[in-house]
This record gives sequence, structure tokens and C-alpha cells, in this order.
Amino acid sequence: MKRAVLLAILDTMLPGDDGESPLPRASEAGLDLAKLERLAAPVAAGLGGVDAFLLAAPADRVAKLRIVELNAAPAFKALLAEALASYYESPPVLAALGWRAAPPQPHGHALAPDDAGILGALEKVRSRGRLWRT
Amino acid sequence: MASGRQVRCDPVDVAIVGAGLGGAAFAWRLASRAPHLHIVCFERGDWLDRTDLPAQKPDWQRLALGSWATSPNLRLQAGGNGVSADYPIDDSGSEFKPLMWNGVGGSTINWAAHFPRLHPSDFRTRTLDGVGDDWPFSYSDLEPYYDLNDEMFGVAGIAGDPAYPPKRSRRMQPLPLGRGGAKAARAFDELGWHWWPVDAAINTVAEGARQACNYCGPCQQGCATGAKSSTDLTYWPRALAHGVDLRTNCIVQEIVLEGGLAKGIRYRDGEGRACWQPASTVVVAGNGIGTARLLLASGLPSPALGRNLMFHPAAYVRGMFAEELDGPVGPVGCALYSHEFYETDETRGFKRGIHLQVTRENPLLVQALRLEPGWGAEAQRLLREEFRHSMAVLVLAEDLPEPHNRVTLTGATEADGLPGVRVEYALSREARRALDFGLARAEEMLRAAGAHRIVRVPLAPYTGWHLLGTARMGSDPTTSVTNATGCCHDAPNLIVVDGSLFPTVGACNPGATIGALALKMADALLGEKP
Ligand SMILES: Cc1cc2nc3c(=O)[nH]c(=O)nc-3n(C[C@H](O)[C@H](O)[C@H](O)COP(=O)(O)OP(=O)(O)OC[C@H]3O[C@@H](n4cnc5c(N)ncnc54)[C@H](O)[C@@H]3O)c2cc1C
Ligand code: SF4
Repeated sequence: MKRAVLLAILDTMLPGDDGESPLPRASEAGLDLAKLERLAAPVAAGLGGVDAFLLAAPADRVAKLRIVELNAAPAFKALLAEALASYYESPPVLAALGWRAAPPQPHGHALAPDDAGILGALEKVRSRGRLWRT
Repeated sequence: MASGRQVRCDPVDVAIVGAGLGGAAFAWRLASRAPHLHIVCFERGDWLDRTDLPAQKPDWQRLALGSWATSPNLRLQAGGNGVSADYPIDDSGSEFKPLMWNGVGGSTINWAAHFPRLHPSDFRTRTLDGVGDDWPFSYSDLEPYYDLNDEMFGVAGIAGDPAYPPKRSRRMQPLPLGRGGAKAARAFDELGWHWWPVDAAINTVAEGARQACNYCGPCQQGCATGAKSSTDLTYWPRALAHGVDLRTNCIVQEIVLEGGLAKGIRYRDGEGRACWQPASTVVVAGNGIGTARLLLASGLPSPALGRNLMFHPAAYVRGMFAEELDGPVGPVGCALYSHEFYETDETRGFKRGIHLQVTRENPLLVQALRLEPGWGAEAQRLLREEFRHSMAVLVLAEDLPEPHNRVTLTGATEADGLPGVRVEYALSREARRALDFGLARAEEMLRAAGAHRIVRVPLAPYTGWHLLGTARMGSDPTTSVTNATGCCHDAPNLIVVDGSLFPTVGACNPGATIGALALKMADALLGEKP
């Protein structure tokens, strides 16, 4: 499969956005393409001609992929799952979403302590009386 | 598997199957009160290595959906993880998919450590509401064991919750509610509804080698800091110090029954050898599926065995907020809960109640995978809108015992040497009504909190966390498997000490009750009181 076809499929699935900290499109997110290439082969085969897909406008590419999603659901699902996993663990994507690339440990995350007012409100809960039955 | 002669072990007083929650609590209590007994526990899986968990790896989100998923079937499909010795479960006939961990610590390795007790009324559903069955003892009979189990696990929380009889003060300060939790608390207040910070079996202060929780998030893939209590950290070190012999990687194949008594167990050890362990008493704690599977495979004749499987049917509502919230930060299941609607009120159109739990968010990848549409510009727009701006409320309902919801054996023999196991479960109309009622209340709370968009998940299949009721206690051998002390009606020296025992399940998480029950059963075996 031509690299351009793979990238066009991935960019149709994950086009990115142009928000304040823009989400990159899949082809610019530094994904490892080898595994994706293998999974994309049966999806590309269902497109009804890869050249036409490459020439199509973005909305038409979406329509063509939707047809493959219906007709070759397991292959499409497998590619989508891998594409999403690769994309949403990619450091530039995480950074665009304001999230760090390092895994949860060993640093953990921060949670602000509760303000006293919130826990003070428990007095109100208590004052409404017991809720349990015997 | 190695062939050859069967290895014969020296007889022991007590052989326990399963080193999870019930098995660990039982082993510790028995060993600490009766040091003269020779006690052996057989566990099919291994010890967890906390230096090698998904949370420490860059591909942790992917691992959490594959070889470290909460579902044993998904773990097996991904090639397994070498610690949890999983077996496949045919869950195609069940609306909820069973989740568990098969290694030392059992499902407390991947539990969320939300640690509520049942209410007193949960022990008397037949008397109070005319449904289900009463337990053979009351909340107050179990209370000293709840207290002891709390001590052993270590609880972070705040005493004084009016949804419960008074509890002892909690050892540690509660987990922070976080931005989402605080928002929910204010909304519950505005509606005049009950809420309380959860009791969590999670250290909020360091204790010995166990650190305080650092809010990393993925508790359901094991806790790297050891802040989350699991029985490999709580009960097991103490049980081993009392001389219990814990044999890991040993898969029990059969409990040998003769003349209405258990004679011992046949197991396959880590080297694949067939072994015979004679025992005066056999104790089973394999969880609501593993126990039923083993007892069915052993030919225990009880007609109620495997039946009355209960899960706590679950549904979710997510609310989206303009303000930034915490996202996947903090222990995933533990923020706060409401028992405003826990007790029966027949004007709602169903008996029994619901539990509302404000949780923390899932990892980014899970959030991306649950969107509809699943790809394209709209999916990415939705993800932007949701990530760190959503709050999830879990609704748990009480499912009553129904004999057709059950665990059975398939005709196949699995790789672990045991017969295959199948789960059949259909949501009752009553439970559906309860879930719908709960979803509506959760939505009301989210709207009061300011959510601008709501997504309902009316039934969440991958929430089969609680595997209960398949070897239930009772006095009638046609409708129950054990008596009030966990002894099987059909083999009095065969004792069940896990979640299978529940005659009914209330509407909230079972861990605290399973631990308390196992402690009580150990005392009952010794003829002792708390
Ligand atoms: C993802 C997840 C989240 C959860 N969250 C919560 C929560 O927040 N709060 C709560 O209260 N509960 C929670 N639970 C449920 C709770 O963890 C279980 O109810 C509890 O651990 C069950 O205890 P048990 O003793 O019945 O079985 P388990 O703890 O599951 O232990 C059974 C053990 O038996 C072993 N075994 C089975 N068969 C054999 C055999 N043939 N030979 C040898 N060994 C065998 C297994 O390997 C396992 O170690 C959660 C569960 C899961 C999976
Ligand atoms: S959030 Fe806390 S309890 Fe959960 S895994 Fe992380 S450190 Fe452990």
C-alpha cells in the first residue's frame, strides 16, 4: 500500500483541529506507521480505488470510509482502535490537550485539598437526620 | 502438563482455595486465633510485582485495555500478563461481563477500593420489603467484623454519615473530592439530597512501606505506590507471619467429596504436576464464578449451586461542563456518593434502592473510544469538549436473587484443566426501573451542577465487578448452598467464605462485607465470638 493512502486514511479518521493549541492531524503526530500499515491494507482494499480516494475532497473521503466501516466492520474497527491508541498516546497530541506525556507513575498528579466550606456542608447533611432503616 | 505419579502431600487441617479477599481474611483470622492449625492456601495466580505495572509505562492506556484490562477474557485475548492466571468465561449470554483478578490478592488487586458497607435493611429484604431473602444474621451481628476488617484494610473517610448506623472514626482523612466532586457536592446540597465522601480502602497518609496515594488514576491496573489496600498488602503478610502456607501458581482442579464430606483437594502445581492434598476442612474462596465453577466441577449436588448470580446492574451518566475539572486524576472510583435513594420508597415504582457514585474520569484513550461518532472531526471536537470537562456518575441498582441468572459448566475442558464456565444473566424489569430512576436522578444532579450536555449510558456491560450469590447462605438446602456459617448443606466440612455467600446484595460495593463475612466464618469454624 502506498504510504500516501495510509496517511490519507489516518488523517480522515483523525484530522486534528485548529484550536488554540491545535491537535495535529494523524500524519503529523509522530505515529509508528508499520503496524498501522498492515491493519490499513484491508480498509484500503474496500475504498473502491485508492487513487480516487486520494483525489477526493475531505467530505468525500469521509463518505468513502463510512462505506468501508459498514462493509468491512472488523477490519475497520481494528485499524481505528490501533489508530486511536497510537494517536492518544503520542506526546504532541497529549500536549495539545494540556496533558503530560509521562505515564501516571512515579510522579502521580496533583489534587487540590478540599476547601473547608465543602466539608462543613456535611453538617447540613447530618442535620437532615438518619436515612437507614432497621 | 507434566505426567507421572500424583504427588501426595501430608494431610493438613485446613486447605483454602483462593488467596483473594475472602480467602486472605479467613486465613489470617483462623491462623491468628488457632496457631496450632496447619493451614494451606492454594492460589492459581502469582504475587503482583509493583515495579512492573502499566502506570509506569508510556503505553499504559493501551495495556489497560489489553493484557491488564479488568476483564479476564480481554486479558487472555491480548496474550495475558503472566500474573493473573486467567480462565476464559463464556459471557455471551450475560448482559454484564464478569471482571476479576486471578492472583494473590484476588480482585482487590484491580478493585477501585470504594469501601461501603451494606445497610442494616439489606440484611432483611424479605421482612421489610417482601422481596429477596433475609440474611441468616443481622447488620449488628456483622458489625464487629466490619470494624475489624476496616482496621485491617485501613480506611480513609469521615465518620458520622447519616446513611449508616454510627461507625468508628476513620483512620485517615478522606481523599480530596477534587473539582468535580466539589461541584457535585454543592449540587446535592442544592437539591437537599444526601451526599458523603466515600470510605476508601486507600492510604491518604503513608504507612510503613506503603506510600500515600499520589492520585495517579489507574487503580484498576494495580497500585504502584501500594496506597490502595489489596489483600496481598493487608491480610497476607500477617497471615504468613502466623504460619499460613500460601502456595501460588497452584490450580485446584477438584474438591474430593466422599460420603457427604470433603476429603481434600486435587490441584495442579506450578510445574504442572498433579497433586493430592488431604485436609480435614476445605474452604473455598474463588469468587462468585470461580467458586461455583470448582464446586460444580467437584459434583457438589446442591440444586442452588451456581444460581442467583448477582452483579449490581450498572449504568452511567456523564455531564459536560464549561469549567475545567480534574479529568483522569485521583482514584478512579472514589470521590463521593449519595444514598438519598438507597432505601425502599414504593412510590418510585420499584422496591429496594439505588446507589449514586461520583467517580473520577477514565484515561484519555477510554474517553476517545466511547465517543459517538467514533472518528472524524466531530469525534475530535467532542473529545476536546469532554476531556477534563466531564463528570461521570455511576448508578448501581440492587439485583435480587433469580435462579435463572447463573453460572454453569460448558462441555469443554479448558487449558487450566477445569471444565469451561458460562455465565447467563438477564436484567430484571424491576432492576431496569431502578436504573432508569437512578439515571434520571443523576442527570438532575448534573444539571443542578451546571452541566450543559448530558450523555446517558443506560447499561454498561463492562461493569461486572461484583460476582455474588452463587453459593448463597440460607436454611433451606433447595434454595441455598450453605448454612449461616458458610458450611455446605451437602458437605459440612466444606466451607465457602467469599462473595458467593450473599443471599441478597444491597445496592453498593461488596468488598467490606466479603471481608467481614470471611472473618465471621473463621470464628464460626472455631466456635468463637469476635
Ligand atoms: C475492576 C474491579 C473493581 C472493583 N471495585 C470494587 C470497589 O471499589 N469496591 C468493592 O467493594 N469491590 C470492588 N470490586 C469487587 C471486589 O474486588 C470483589 O468483590 C472481591 O475481591 C471478591 O472477593 P472474593 O473473595 O469473592 O474473590 P476474589 O477476591 O476475586 O478472589 C478469588 C481468588 O480465588 C482464586 N481462584 C479461583 N479459582 C481457583 C482455583 N480453582 N484454584 C486456585 N485459586 C483459585 C483466584 O485466582 C482469586 O485470587 C471490584 C472488582 C473488580 C474486578
Ligand atoms: S490513584 Fe492512588 S490508589 Fe489509585 S493507583 Fe494511583 S496511587 Fe494507587
